[in-house]
Amino acid sequence: MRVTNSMLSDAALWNISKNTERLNKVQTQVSSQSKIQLPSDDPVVATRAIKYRNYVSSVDQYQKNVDDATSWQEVSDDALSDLGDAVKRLRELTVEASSDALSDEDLADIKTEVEELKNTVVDTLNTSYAGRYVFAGYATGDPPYAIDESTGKVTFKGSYLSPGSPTTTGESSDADLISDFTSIISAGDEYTFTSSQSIKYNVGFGSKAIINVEGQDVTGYSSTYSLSSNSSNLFDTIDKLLIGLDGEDSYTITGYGVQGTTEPDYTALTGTSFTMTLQTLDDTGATVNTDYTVDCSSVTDLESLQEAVDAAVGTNVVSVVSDANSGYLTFTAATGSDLENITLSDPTSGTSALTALGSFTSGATQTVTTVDVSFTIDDLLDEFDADYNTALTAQAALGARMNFVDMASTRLSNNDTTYTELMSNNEDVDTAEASIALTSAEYVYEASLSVASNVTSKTLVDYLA
Amino acid sequence: MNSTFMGLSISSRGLYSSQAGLAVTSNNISNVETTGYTRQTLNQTSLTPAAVYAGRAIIGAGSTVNSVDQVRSSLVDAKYWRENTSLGEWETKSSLLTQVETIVGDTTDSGFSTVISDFYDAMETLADDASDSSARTNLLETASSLCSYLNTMSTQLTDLQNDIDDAVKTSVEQVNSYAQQIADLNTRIREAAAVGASTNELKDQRALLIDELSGLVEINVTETTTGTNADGSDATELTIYVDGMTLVDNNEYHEMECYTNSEGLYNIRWTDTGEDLDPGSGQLEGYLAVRDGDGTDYKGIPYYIEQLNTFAQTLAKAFNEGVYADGSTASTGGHAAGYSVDGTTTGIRFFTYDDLSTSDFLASGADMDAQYANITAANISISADIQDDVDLIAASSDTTGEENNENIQALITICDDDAMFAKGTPEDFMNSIISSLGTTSAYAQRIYDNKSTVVYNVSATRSSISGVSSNEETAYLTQYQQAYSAAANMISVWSDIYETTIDLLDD
Repeated sequence: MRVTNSMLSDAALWNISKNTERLNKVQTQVSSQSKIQLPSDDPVVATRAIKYRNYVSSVDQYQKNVDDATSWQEVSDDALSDLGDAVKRLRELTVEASSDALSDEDLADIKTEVEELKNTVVDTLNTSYAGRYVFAGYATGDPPYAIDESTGKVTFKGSYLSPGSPTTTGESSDADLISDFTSIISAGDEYTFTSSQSIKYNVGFGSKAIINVEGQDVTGYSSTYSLSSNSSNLFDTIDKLLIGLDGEDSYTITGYGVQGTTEPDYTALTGTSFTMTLQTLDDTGATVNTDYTVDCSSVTDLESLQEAVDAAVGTNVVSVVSDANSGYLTFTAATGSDLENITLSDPTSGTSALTALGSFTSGATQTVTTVDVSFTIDDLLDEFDADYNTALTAQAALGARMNFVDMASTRLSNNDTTYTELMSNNEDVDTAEASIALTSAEYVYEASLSVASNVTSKTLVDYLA
Repeated sequence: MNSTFMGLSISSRGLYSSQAGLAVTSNNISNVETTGYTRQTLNQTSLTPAAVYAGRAIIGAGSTVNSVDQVRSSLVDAKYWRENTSLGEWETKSSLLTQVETIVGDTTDSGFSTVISDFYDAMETLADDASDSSARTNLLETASSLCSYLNTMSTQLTDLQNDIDDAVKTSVEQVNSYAQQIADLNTRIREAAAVGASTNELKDQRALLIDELSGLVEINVTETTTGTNADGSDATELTIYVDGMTLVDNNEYHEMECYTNSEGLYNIRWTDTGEDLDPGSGQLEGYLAVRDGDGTDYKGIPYYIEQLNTFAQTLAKAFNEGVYADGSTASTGGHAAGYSVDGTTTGIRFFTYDDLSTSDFLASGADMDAQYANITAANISISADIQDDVDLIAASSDTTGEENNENIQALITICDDDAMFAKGTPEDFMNSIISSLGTTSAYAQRIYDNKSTVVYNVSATRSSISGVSSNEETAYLTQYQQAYSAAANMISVWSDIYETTIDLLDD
């Protein structure tokens, strides 16, 4: 092949330009420490880079979420421990107060401490983290618990936890209590649990942790309709203790129920039965009435009457309460039941049971009424135990969630290592490899320069003459 | 009987021929580095004997120079033009797509992944503290960054598209200018040939212009013989076809021109017939492919703008309404279903366009599809309501309180939902854009690399045939110099002979 001058110089330039290109690429890689500068350098690396960066960034954010969740939960946990201590102290004071050997001054001292503890409990439950009240569900902007100055009733998020809370027997007339209760209910100011307000944080890919504990789960709340003496919350128990410390042996509660007008005659009940119509709401909110026949054949006292009712309608549906003063019976929704209404009526045939039960009017439906409950301070020990258990259960649930967050944290730090490594492997330059490539590119470049400088240095002309 | 002075005449012809050879060699050496120069050779032949002779011995009449020819291969030229056209196309494509990559590509820390991650992080931070107004402001800021990132990308792509459009016009003007110059040269070549003057340098200039032209559009060059020139060489006519029409027809040329099409961009047509033309390949085709490629034939700028628009629309629709690309719905109704921090306001759209408020946005179209069709990557924005009051960001699912983060959690889920785009999550979709861009650009670069190697090789072949080799010329130089000396010596010999003859006469 004929080789011409321009071929030689073109080839030299071509090779220098190719080698410069290569040198430039390797140099950019080394100095930027990044394998690719543009997606076209390696589309696969480029798209993976986005994915991995996104992973790493998500993991970083999840770690922040976990830190925040942990702080929140620790604050809640500390508060619940303090609350537990307060309830334990209340129980100790209850034990102390139930002793007969106490003077009035001693009781007054205990009462002062109990009142103090009631405030402590409220303050503890109003614990905040970074300006947010941790037990307030979603409404973290305001302290959830407050004691109504005039009535002494406790409100949770502005609603009464227990609208018919225990009051000293005889202090207010029944009519006043009923009127107070009715006005709370008609204003819709009673606390009703609708759905849980769980604050959830993302603590991993597709993994959410509930970080908060809601106040009503710690203190309990009273069914609006119940007149049952064991339907209670922590504040009700404290109120009962305060009533007991005043030397009272009964308290009055207000609620919905069907009340008789005379004392029951259990002996006359033998062999009778009556119909109990229970009204509930179905999924669409429509009322559903169901009739049950309560067989009174083996009823001899209040306890056996309760058994007969349970046998007919099921346990924990309807409570039968006897008024401590009048001895009249009241049928009311049991704690936790979702009854809308109770109606009592005589069966179509047979002996009337309603008269023997306490002159109940056939077909009488529940109304707002009061019931006096006799008690001793001793009785409150069980209630404090129950309240303590409620708080403890809430704390245990929180503990389990804290464990979950803790495990998520461990998993995230593993993820962080893995994804950071993947990201780095994907897009970062292997320095050793790149240095060798750079050295080699430099060597080749220099060689091509040196060759080019000699390419046309000599021609035949140099050897003429 | 031979002529008495035949020897002198033969020798002097030898002198002339050698001198001509030396001149051609000098010319070649002078042009050793001249671009487009084609080496010339002496067309030297021996002269046939005179018609009058005696005896049996026929003695030649010496040498003569017929012409000075160019050493050129039309086959290699045609190959060069064809490959150069292709090189022009892919060089343009690869360079333009690299520019698109710097706009859309995401290999730096300021790219898409950072912007979208910041946006997600801000949502998470708000979910951690739904009542915190700084978290809300942060979400507004990061979402605004996301919007302006899309706005900037789209605007830059449109700017690039307009730049390319200007380049199209410039290229068309260049083509016209080359066509005119070639037609002029054709005229001059024909005139020169007609009077027997040299056309070599004119042809070199013309070939150089065709080289340039071939980089711009796909051309088909034919040279037909039409007759014989005065000096006996072939009279030829050169015609250049573009897209089946003659661009240059010997001494005439046909201009092409740009006119603005319905999209406000230039289309190319023949000025005289008004017929649209397709450049076929070359730089012009590269410009048009990247400028107009909507994904059907080529993935050019309109394709990427359309993809970004789809991204903006789908993200906005899913985020605002919980309605995905394929029409399926998320478990919640998106931002519009949520409530403001005080639980009073709902139905606020987070993303709108041109800073419209929710009510203006809803009034912008008859139904949801019409409203979201208005959103493009260039105009997507945060709604004016939220820009004015971050408390309207609907983190809450109902009126239960300021810490209700259910809706923002639902939005996080929506943004992480594979179903949002037909192709997956927002990153997946963006990934597919970047992946297809990266692949298309890498392909263009590879073809460009291949083509430049091919053109380099064809060019080397051309150089091998038509280039000047100084060694060769030096050899010729020596050869002609020797021949000249020899011829001069012959004259001296003949001179002696004549002297002897004349002396004989004198005596």
